[in-house]
Amino acid sequence: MPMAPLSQQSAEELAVRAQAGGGAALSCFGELVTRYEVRLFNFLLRRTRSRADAEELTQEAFLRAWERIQSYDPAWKFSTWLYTIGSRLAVSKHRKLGRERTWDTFERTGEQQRDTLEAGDDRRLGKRLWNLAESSLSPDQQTALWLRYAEDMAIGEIARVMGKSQVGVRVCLFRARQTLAKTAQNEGWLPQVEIKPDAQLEIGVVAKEVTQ
Amino acid sequence: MSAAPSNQNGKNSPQRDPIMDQHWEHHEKPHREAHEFENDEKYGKNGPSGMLRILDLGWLRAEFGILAQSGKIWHSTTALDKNPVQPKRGAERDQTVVHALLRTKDQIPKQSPAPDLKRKIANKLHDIEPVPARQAGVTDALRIGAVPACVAVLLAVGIHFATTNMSSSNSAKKPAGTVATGDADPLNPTERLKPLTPEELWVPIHPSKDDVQRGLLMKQNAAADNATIQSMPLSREANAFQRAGEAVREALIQKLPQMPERPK
Repeated sequence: MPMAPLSQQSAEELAVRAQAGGGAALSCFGELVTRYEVRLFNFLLRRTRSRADAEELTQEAFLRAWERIQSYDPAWKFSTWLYTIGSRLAVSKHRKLGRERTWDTFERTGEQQRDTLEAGDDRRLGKRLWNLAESSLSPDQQTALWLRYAEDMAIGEIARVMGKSQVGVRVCLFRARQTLAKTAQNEGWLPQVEIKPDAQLEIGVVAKEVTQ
Repeated sequence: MSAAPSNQNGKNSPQRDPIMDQHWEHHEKPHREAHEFENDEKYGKNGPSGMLRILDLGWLRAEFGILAQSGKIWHSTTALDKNPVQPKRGAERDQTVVHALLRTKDQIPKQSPAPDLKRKIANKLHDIEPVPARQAGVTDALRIGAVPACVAVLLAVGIHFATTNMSSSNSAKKPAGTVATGDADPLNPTERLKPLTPEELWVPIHPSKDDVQRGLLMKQNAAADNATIQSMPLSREANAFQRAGEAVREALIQKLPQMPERPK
């Protein structure tokens, strides 16, 4: 039976084929590297706040994953397994570097700096919120926020990657959003939402017009 | 922002305990609201967000003039999402706005790694062989289970030794008391009770065969140890020095002049 092209196979199928060994194993894993290279790099960039460290950890995470591909459990998503490896490597590296320097200076590109300065544009609110997250949230909260919104991970998957309970992750996300809302409102650029007594009427009118 | 637990009618309890309120604020409320908010069935994990649509649809802002007042964004968001859930607290509304903004995919700041990163990884992948399944399983099992297994074994050994020593010491150290010396009538003793020496107190009255053998073995071992120590060169030298030291001390004492008597 002819196999589907590598690009059409799911990450889990590719990982299982890489587990099986043989000549196709390396090419399957190479496809996985292609798919997750940028995503893992950005995840680790959030953790390390340094491009050089993030690239080094990305490389190390893929090598560790290839070395330990036999211990991958197909019951879990490949991304969860890979991100768990990357997260643990980041923690180890952070411990090593903890006494030498801190990861509190984020290397921004020119585009990101411009985005921060454009305060009046509502369409940039999301980006401003992410930039605010860098400065006002703890590393755990940032990681949870990134995995939830940038990677669309479920709570259970985030809990596995971060080594926390599901309730812990939910509370972590809640507090992160709360901190962001408060900080943004104090800075005066997040919409202040209020509910008026005639809310039901307005909601009905807007819904009717939009559906029409 | 603040919310207190409410009773079944949805109203605040008239007699509120400040301690319970504080507990609610710091412990119960975050858990409960986080749980409610992260419910994917309620909000839809990948569903469209009305907030995003409103932020992107500038025509709606101009057409209705609703969004010019930022306080009404939630109303429109709810309407566009057709979400029947009504916000109850300010905290939840803030969470919703932040949630909607963070879900904007094109506003998530992403960077690209160095172009040669993939080539570097590919080159190194050729040099590394995956660990075989059996070895990987063993190492993983060791990594995961080694520490708890060692702790369990140590605990078991410790408990075993503790219980064994306690029971043996209890039985061995049971005091023997005093022993009568052969009176016919214990109520009218003609002889005094013979007090036992401490050594006798610690010896079982009726030692078993094992105890006797163990005692003999210990004595033999002690004698063998003493003989070994005495036969060691260092011990011989030490003994010689000790004997020489005593002889020198005696000679010095003999040669010392007599001390004159102190005048009275």
